[in-house]
Amino acid sequence: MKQTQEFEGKNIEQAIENACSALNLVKKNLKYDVISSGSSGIFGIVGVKKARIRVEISAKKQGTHGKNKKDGEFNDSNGVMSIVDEAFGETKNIGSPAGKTGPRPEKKKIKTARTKPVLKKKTPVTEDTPVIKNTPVTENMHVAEDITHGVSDNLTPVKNDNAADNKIIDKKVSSKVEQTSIETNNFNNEKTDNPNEKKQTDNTWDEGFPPIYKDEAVADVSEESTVLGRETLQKMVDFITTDAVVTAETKQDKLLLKIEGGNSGVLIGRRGQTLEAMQFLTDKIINRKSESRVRLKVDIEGYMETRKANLKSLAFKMAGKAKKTGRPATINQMTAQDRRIVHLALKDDARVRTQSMGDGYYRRLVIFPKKNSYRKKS
Amino acid sequence: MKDLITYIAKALVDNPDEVNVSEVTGTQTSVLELKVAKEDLGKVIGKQGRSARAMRTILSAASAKLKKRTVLEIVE
Repeated sequence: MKQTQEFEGKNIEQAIENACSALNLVKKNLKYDVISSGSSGIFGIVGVKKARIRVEISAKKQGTHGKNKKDGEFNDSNGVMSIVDEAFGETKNIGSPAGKTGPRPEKKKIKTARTKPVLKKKTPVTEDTPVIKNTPVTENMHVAEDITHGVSDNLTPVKNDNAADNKIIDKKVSSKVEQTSIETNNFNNEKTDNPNEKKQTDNTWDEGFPPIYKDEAVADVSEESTVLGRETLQKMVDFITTDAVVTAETKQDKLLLKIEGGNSGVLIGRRGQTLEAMQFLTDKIINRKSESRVRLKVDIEGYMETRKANLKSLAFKMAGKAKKTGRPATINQMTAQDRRIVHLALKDDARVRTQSMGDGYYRRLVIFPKKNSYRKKS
Repeated sequence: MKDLITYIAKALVDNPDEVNVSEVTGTQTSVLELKVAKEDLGKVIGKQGRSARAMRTILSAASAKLKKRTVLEIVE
């Protein structure tokens, strides 16, 4: 039988995300039915309904009634991929619901799907084990075994894909340090790209840090700037709130200052404006003297991460709107970094084009739908 | 409040000795008057008033702790 579980969220996307993180699956492997799409009500006050989706757990399990659907969505390679996902997910997060299915039930599932449609997942493992061992090993099973042991070469891209997806899912829980190191790697690869931050919409720079410019030499953050930056920020923070501590981390020419403790709500300010003001002034003070530019970022208890996620969901929402209505959608009043996050979020979407328009304070981001692009979003 | 602006302004300008902040206190609102050397005026104001805006933002966050309002005036 199919096991189902229901998830809620502000909108369907949110609900799917919740489901993904709870079940430790990537979005494309999630099978779900929308129960209610939710509504924001009137001004988000009256008649707010949460979106609900019903997720099938262990979706690749053979189901006679859902067969047509599965043939469409789970051809061989996809099936294998989802197994990879689960196998990997299981090794990473033990204790999540998806973790219940170990490598052995996994193989068993393939078996069931390919040769013995009657078998169900709930049947005791001991009963099945001899069956698995005695049946002639199919090609598919080979692949599955290889993947679970991580030796298959031709499937490496699949694994990378999976890792990337996991990264997205894990983002919320992963520590900042890890994130930064990943970003650094990206950054090193791309630093010779077009430096004009405002105009480009197709770069792959790391997000969050200000981009580097072509003619600038990458120099490590000097001890002096680190101390100066930390002291300056600490002083500003002390005027705003009590017992907050600033810690500094450096990576090449990037300096990350983290504020912990204190009244973080006041420190962040409305839509992060206090945080941004502090970052701007500290950046200015550090870079006033030194000839090599230090790229500074200030973070308060993971706020930047949360905002990045919010901006991305906003970006996707607006892109959806643009596609649906066929008219350009505008997002007003954002800082350069925020716009950049939106540009990067939508750069892979072939059906929209993003551009920043206007100048200075009135600069805004416009998402254009592409008229003559009928290519389906993969 | 005065110390905060003095500190930031001194860190931003080339002639820190010429930074002068005077405070006019009121019951609800106090006014800070920032005076800097003429050639440093641009530095405390910034491109499109960005530095000045950032200082005001931090100032309002800091004075929220004291349940007051503070206005920053940059005096030529």
